[in-house]
Amino acid sequence: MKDVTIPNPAPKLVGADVSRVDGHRKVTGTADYTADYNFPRQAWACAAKSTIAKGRIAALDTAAAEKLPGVVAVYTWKNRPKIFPPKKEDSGFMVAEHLAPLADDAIHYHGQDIAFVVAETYEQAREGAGLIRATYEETPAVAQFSAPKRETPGKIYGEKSHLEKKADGVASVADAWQASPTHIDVTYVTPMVHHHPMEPHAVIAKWHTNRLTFYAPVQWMYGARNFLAASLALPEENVRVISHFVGGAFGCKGSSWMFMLIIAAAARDLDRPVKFVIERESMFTSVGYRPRTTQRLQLGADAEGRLQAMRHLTESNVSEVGPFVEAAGHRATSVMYASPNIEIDHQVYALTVNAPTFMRAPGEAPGMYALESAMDELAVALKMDPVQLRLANRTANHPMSALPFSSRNLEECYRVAGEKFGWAKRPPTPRARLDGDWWVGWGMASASYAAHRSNASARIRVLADGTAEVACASHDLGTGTYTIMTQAAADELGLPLEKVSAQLGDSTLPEAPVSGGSQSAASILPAVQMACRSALAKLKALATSEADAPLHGVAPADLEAADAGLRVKSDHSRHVTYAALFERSGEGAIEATEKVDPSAETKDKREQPSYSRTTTAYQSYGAFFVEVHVHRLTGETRVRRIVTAMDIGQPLNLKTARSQVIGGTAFGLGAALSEHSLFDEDSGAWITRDLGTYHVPVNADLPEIDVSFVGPPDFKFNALGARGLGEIGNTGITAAIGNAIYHATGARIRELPITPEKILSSLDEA
Amino acid sequence: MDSSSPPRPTAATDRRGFIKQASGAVAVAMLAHPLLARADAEPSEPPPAPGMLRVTLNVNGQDRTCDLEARTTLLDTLRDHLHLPGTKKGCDHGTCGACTVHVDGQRVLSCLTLAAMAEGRKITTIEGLAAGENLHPVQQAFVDCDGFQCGFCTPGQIMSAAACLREGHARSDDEIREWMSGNLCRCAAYPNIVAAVRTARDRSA
Ligand code: FES
Ligand code: FES
Repeated sequence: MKDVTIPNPAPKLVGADVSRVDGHRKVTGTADYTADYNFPRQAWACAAKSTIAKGRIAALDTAAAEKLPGVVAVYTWKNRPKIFPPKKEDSGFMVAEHLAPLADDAIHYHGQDIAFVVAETYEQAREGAGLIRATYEETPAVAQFSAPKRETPGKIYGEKSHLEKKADGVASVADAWQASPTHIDVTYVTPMVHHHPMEPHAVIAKWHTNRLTFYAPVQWMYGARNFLAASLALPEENVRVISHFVGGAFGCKGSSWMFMLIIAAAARDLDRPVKFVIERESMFTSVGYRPRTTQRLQLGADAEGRLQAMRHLTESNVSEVGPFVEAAGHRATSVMYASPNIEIDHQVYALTVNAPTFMRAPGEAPGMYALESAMDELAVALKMDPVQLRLANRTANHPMSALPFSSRNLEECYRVAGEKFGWAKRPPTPRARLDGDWWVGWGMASASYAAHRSNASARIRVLADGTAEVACASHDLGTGTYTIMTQAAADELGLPLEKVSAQLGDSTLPEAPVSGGSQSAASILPAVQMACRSALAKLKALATSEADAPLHGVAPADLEAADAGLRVKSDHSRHVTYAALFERSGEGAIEATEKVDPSAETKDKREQPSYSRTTTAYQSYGAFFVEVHVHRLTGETRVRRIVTAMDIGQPLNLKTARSQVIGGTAFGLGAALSEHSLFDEDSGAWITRDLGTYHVPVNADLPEIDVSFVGPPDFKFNALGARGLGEIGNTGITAAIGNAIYHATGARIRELPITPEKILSSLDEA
Repeated sequence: MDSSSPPRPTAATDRRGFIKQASGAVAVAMLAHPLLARADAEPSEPPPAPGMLRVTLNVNGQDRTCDLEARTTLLDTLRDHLHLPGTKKGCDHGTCGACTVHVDGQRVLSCLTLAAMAEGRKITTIEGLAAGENLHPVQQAFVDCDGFQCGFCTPGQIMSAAACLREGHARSDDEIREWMSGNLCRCAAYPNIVAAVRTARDRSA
């Protein structure tokens, strides 16, 4: 780690600009992702998929596949290997699709797995899957977005689908909105979009008698383990899930998917390892997506811009086989601005389509897009600067629950990012600047994401050579988990970074929660700290308890970890290294495992939506300022500058924190300008089936992104003062880009993505 | 768009070129099928199994021989037959760049190249880029600039970046962005990748 020097104990490694500890492996191709493994006697599997959306399989011809040289087995609903698929999730795991795999002849969506071909080689399995011939009896699919009945879903993130607060004497929020001196009524549409981590899902199942080793990139080791154990009728300790590196996830590797079961069962049935790597085209049908939302925003304000009423009414699709609800207002309008009257409602409709699931900032991404776009429209209606409008509606307390925030520095985000951007020079009217053939526009928006924490455990081992190993069953999705675990343990033990190694991605390690909801760092690092402190207590005993111990007579409380050992706080020259302690005691290692339960620390830190917490609300905020250039003839948008400031408490590693914010920002940029999973409302099939037609941002689409972190550490939230930041980057940025496009062109486009053809037709109208 | 033209795929990566070359290669492979024991094979070596093609590839400076189905891509050969899984499969059809390797010094998508097409050419993969223990300047710059998050696209990015520098297509940030746009990164390490390429360029100047 050549850019890090470590004068212990201060400054701390946590919070520093530290290069990733797994960087060397990642740049040399030696980081081991699931599909990189091959085992002796391994067979390959490939899936055949339904080509209709709804109906039943009238006939399934597997003969050609079975005859193909190299094919060892063809599994269909008629000979499904033995599994006990759970009907739905329980607390120990998550499943997005509530449909047993290869259960019967029924087809529930286009692209459903109807057969798995297992063969000696990948090529044979793939050819075999292509030889499966199905004939169908089709029944009508529900594919038109407007067709299905709208229904009230169950809870949305633990809350009712209808939330409301009203000032005294107000009959309804709608009335208060109507009565507001200035009011707007606007509707936004966000399309279905897909995660597309660069690493497609892959699984390898390997049995030793009745013990299963399962390689799979997942966001929840214990969840995958529990799912497999329950579905294969195995004790949990007989299942080991491994994934040292995950090639991106963004939510689609959080739930367990049913194909995992078929592969595990096939490997048991065939008594050999079976490997299954999903093709990119199946990433559209088999591992979730973000549902479509239609969001109606009604905002009313007085002449000073103070919000008198806010209504955020959402409709989003679910699947007939997957009930995941993409929240919107619940995760946006409930936490942003002061208003005496707020109404949030959410309705869903079920389509004949594969199951949706969490995708980076589920709820916040579409919800903040709509709210922050509407705020911009309200600012236009009020002839107010968009930042001033937001400042006029600042709040110290949670708008719905009235609880105080643990730490909220949103106004500081506007100030820091706005000054860096030069916002003060913004012309107030749109279409004010043409640079050659490019309209230039500036837009801004707020960002927001809830702060989560869950139970987590970690283990530390200090070894005889004075090095340490820190371990927990968490995940590094590119999030930097290896690195921050190493930093935290090194700080606690007074070791240089290179003397600490981190292990994760293995379900035999101490339990860590799902790496979702931006909660991993905030959850596991307190456990790492506690485990280190327990280990230190044992080391201090080694150093002091016996009469001839090197620091005998010093009270343990007067010792601190430093310079790869312990020293007396008041006399740094009295120091003993861990290695010397071990040499003297003859012990091989000191080990400690600790679990941290946030609900036990204080009652209000439980993993709950902030709205329903009891004494304090925990929420991160941020602001985006964006410059776009829109070509007046082609309608092409280029984002030229992005400046953001994030209030996420203590960043744990400036380098990886900045990267995470950039990654989230790019996600939101893709949503704003290019990402759209086209769904055929006639056939119920996805039309975009590759990365040539589904446009994720490329290098040339991103400008420099200027990231600042503002606000103090949030020690009310956890001992490190750190709230998560994997998702907040993907909130608000989409609106900021749309607002900048409006400022550039005068065209307000309310359906994502904002593509050249939409801009051109609006320019014609404008 | 910037004035410099975007990266063009090489003959082996362009889809039309691929089909032409690939069908040629397969045709040759099939014609050769009964005679699969090649003239230069060791006389003591058993001939490849029926339907298999014996291919010798020069990878990272070493000749490696393996028996393959003729339809096996260079990508799958590297990963699953030659135990070089550093090169990644992101899409298997030429849209993501994760599988980028060098063939005779040019960046090539190994998922659109049959192994048989690469015989007799010099192949370099991410495993062969560093000189022994010393990282290639691009590799070191990626570490220093945090030019990755999950790391899955990284081998392809680094192979592209090394070629981009050699091609002289890294004279400005805009040029780097354009010529690195064939490699997708869903984590969007893009600004840091640009910084890494710039850093590697400046360090070796
Ligand atoms: S795997 Fe070759 S371009 Fe995607
Ligand atoms: S680092 Fe994850 S895709 Fe590029």
